[in-house]
Amino acid sequence: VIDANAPSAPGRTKEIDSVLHSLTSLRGVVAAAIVDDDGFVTHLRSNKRIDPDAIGASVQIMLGAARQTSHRLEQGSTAMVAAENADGMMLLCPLEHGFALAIISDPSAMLGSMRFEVKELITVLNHVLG
Amino acid sequence: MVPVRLFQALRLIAFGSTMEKMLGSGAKALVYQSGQQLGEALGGAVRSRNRTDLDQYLDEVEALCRRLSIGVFVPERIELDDGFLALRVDECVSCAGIHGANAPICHFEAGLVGGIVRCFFDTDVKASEVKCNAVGDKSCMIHVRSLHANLADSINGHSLK
Repeated sequence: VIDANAPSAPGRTKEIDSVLHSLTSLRGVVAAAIVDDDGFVTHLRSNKRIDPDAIGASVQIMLGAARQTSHRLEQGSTAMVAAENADGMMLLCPLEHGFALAIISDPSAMLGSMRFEVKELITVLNHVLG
Repeated sequence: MVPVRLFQALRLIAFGSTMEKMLGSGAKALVYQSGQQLGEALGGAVRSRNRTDLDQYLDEVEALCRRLSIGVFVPERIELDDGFLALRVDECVSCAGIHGANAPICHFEAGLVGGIVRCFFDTDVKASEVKCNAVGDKSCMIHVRSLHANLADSINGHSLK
C-alpha cells in the first residue's frame, strides 16, 4: 500500500530535521535523534559532538527492556522512558515502524517542557516515518 | 571447534530467547550490533593487509569466515555508485538446518556483513537480511546500503569482478 500523502525521501529528511531542530532549540537539549529498529541512528541533530554508535543500539535496548518490564507488571504499552543522570537527562519515545526518538540534555533542561514538546511532535514524526 | 548444533542451541534458544524475553525488540538491535563489531574486527584484520582492492578484500574475508565456519559469503551484486551490495550466505552458522521460522533470524550475520563492508569503506552502512534459510529460502541473502555517499567515492583504485 502506497500512502499518496507520505512525503518523498528528501522531503521526509527535511521534515524530520525540522522536528529535531525544534527539539534541540529547547533549553538544555543537546541532541535529538531518530533510531531505527536495528539500532542505527538515521537522523541526528546535535549541539555537541555525539558518537551515533554510542546511542543507537542502547536506545532500542533501554526501550525494549522498559516495554518488557511494563508487560510483566501489566502496565500496558510504553509511551516514554526517562533517565535522570548526574550530568543530564535522556528521554526516549517509541515511534511507529520500530523507530525511536531519543533526546539528550544537560542538567539545565526542563523535563516538563521536553515532555510537552515530544508529545506534540510524535504524531508528526509518525506520519513522516510512515 | 564448537559443534554447530550446540552453537545454534546457545545462540537461538538459550541466549536469543532470553534476550528477547528481557529486551523485546531491543534484542534485535543488540544482536545486530554484536555482529557488526565482529565484522569490523574480522574486516580490520584483513584490511590491514589490503586497503584498496575490494575483490581481494572480500575473497580474504570469505576465506576467513569459511575457516571459522561462520558461513560461505558470496558477493551477488556490487553497485558502488548506488551504494549497494548484495551478499549471499550459504551454510549460515545461525540457521543452517533450521526451518519453520516466520521471519529472518540471522540478525547477527546481517550485522557481521554490515561490519565487514563498513570496515572496508569506512562509512556507515545498514545491512538487512532479505532472504533466510530458516524461513524456507535456499540461502540467506543480505543487502547492504550506504547511509551516506555512494561507495565508489570511499575507495581509490578498487577493482571489481
